[in-house]
Amino acid sequence: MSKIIMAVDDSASMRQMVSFTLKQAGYQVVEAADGRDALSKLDGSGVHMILTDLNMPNVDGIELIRRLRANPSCRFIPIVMLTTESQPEKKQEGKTTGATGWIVKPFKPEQLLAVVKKVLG
Amino acid sequence: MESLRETYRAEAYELLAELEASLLVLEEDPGDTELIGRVFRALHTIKGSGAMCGFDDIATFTHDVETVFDLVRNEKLGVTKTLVD
Repeated sequence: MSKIIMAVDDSASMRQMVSFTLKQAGYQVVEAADGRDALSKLDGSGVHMILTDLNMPNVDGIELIRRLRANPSCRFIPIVMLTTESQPEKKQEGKTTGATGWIVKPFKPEQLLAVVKKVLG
Repeated sequence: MESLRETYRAEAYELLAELEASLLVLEEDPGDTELIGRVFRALHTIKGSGAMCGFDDIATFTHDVETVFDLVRNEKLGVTKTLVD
């Protein structure tokens, strides 16, 4: 059975790009438009990995990571942040909060897949 | 790729409209931090997703504007009429 990945981003074009790339590679994708949407879709979804943007309305990426790490059932789900070079302090904050790693935007589809494969094994 | 660029185009128009509306209100109420956050987020998405879709000129230009708004967000620069214009 293919692994399920959640893609969290408030940008529709980013979600489309990430989703398309992952589906082409055989993964199942659950999309969420922000942290709040992600939290509401997570329960019982069987998600194996989360890719999240940081700067989002309602619940941002850092807060999402914090809430997931505080939840025993989500404590060990790999979370990879999608950041930009202009946010070095956010990257550090995300790491401290419990993110597994990050990918710097803009990235190529093959870079995304390389990280996903490395994390999911 | 074409469909991705189309999605970006629609998204960018939407964000630009939101940006314009937010800036107009911000001019009247320069201390509204929620609004400043919204402006920053719109710029950030136009930049980040633009770069992902291969629109490098848009990304470079927006990056400069975003840098200025980051100063505003961190209260190192005030909102003035010149800035909004």
